[in-house]
Amino acid sequence: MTTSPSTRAFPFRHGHRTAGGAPADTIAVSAEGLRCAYGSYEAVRGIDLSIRNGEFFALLGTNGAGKTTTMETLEGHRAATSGRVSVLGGDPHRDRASIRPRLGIMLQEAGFADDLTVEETCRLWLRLSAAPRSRSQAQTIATGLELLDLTAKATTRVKMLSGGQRRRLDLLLATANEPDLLFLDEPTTGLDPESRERTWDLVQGLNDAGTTVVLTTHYLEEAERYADRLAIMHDGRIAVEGTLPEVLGREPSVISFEVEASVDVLQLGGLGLSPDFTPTPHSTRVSVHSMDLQQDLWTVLSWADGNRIRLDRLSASEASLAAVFRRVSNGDAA
Amino acid sequence: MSTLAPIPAATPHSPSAASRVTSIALMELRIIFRNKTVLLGAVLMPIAMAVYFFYFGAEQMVSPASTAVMAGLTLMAVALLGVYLTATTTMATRREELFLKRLRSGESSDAVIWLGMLVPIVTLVAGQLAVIAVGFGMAGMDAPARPLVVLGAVLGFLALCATVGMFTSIYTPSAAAAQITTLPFFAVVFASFFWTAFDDGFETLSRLTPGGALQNLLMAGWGAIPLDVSTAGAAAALLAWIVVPYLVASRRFRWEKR
Repeated sequence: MTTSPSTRAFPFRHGHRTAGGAPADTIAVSAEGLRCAYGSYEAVRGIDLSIRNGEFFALLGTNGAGKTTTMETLEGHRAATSGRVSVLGGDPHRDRASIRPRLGIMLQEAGFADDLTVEETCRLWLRLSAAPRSRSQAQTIATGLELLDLTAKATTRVKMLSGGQRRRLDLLLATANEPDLLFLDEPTTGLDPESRERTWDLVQGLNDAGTTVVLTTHYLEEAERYADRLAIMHDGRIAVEGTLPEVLGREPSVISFEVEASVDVLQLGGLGLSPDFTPTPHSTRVSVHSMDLQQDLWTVLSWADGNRIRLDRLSASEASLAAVFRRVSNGDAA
Repeated sequence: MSTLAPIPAATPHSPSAASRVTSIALMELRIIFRNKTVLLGAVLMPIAMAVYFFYFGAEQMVSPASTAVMAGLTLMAVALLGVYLTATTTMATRREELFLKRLRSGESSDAVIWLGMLVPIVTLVAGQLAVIAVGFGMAGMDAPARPLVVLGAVLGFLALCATVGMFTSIYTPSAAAAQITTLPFFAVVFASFFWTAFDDGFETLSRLTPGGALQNLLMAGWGAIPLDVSTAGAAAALLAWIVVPYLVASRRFRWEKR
């Protein structure tokens, strides 16, 4: 089933604005020297972060990098061990009562009362939330269920839902109060492609209407596609941060090829390139890391042409987020 | 230059704390009545226990003291099973389901969530006790000489069972484990209740225990002992047994499974 254009935008909001009507150049989330420890283990080791109102920010990282601890600290679930955190102008842990009505939180793992139906769960949640009264609770529930394709499950007990359906219900609860700031901790893990599309339709609709979105995900293509800015965490620290072009701009592109073993590949060094060589019995595999792909590719091709050298398995690839991620995961920060 | 966005005034349509407690409590009641096992534990078992005590103890209720003892035993059995065990099990189950974490990701305060979980359990048992009291009265049990003291003791003991249940749930990893983790407190309450019957020179100390404080108040309520400083001490002890577990539990409470 495809989503019609009319339902692509988040249905509860009308018109573009930023969090609480705040100007887009104000800061929604900031952290300075944030540290979080579990006993003697320090999960977050001094991070600085700044997210503007209306921004879509992706926090990436390997398992155990400290993403969820950072998110839960920003959400106010746990106090920072040290450092300063500000969310919508307050301390998320201390000022929870005043901040929470403006937050939507989709935890990486949170459950339901299994014996309640989907509709009862939504109704309970709305009764606990300071949801705007632009629509009745029944309308809000009906629209949300329809948007996330859960209408047929309205009277089904939550324990009978599939993992993907539970995740969609999760999202519905996180967004039902029309939040100014939405935290999404791996929202699409375990979802089929259509459900992922629906999820992103809803989140993008909210973001377009001014909601600040902070996302963690293991799907790099989601961050590439939706995030205005991103950061990659490793070992409790932020290793890379910036817009996608900024992050990729610091990552070298790669030109690779193979030549016969008799070819003097050391000549490439004299052309201003910094190639890596991997000799095999009959050939040499060459990788050139390049910060100017077009120029360096031209240099390599001119060298090969001028010396009548055949380049086998020639490839030139732009820097990718996956490559940046791999490098960061190996502990080599940009 | 970017600036921090200020927190705006409170959202005008924010539900009150009482409204949130009611919503959570109604949800919990709905779940109790849907789950036959929980329903059996929370409703039928305590009543069965009360009938058992009454059947075997009715002929012994010949004096205010023996009536107070019988009332105390019934109250303990019903409250420990209906409130203490159910509160521990419910908290452990909701934690295991990660539903507590879910509730905490919303706008409700910690106290609202705890109250919402505990109020229906306490209310249910209070209703059962009212029915049992009427039944005991119809069977010829003497009414207490100081009903307000008895009422205070009953409500206090129910609150005690609720807060100690909340405390015990911290060390209870699952609903099944509650059968084990609640045993020590069951033993402490019953042992301390009977301890008060002995003139062993430790009467003052025995009144500080949960069972001892309860028994002392019930004795005073039925006129078996005078209402004096020792009764006030028992009331203070009962209050401490409510407040201290709550304070400890509120600081060390686990919102998610280990």
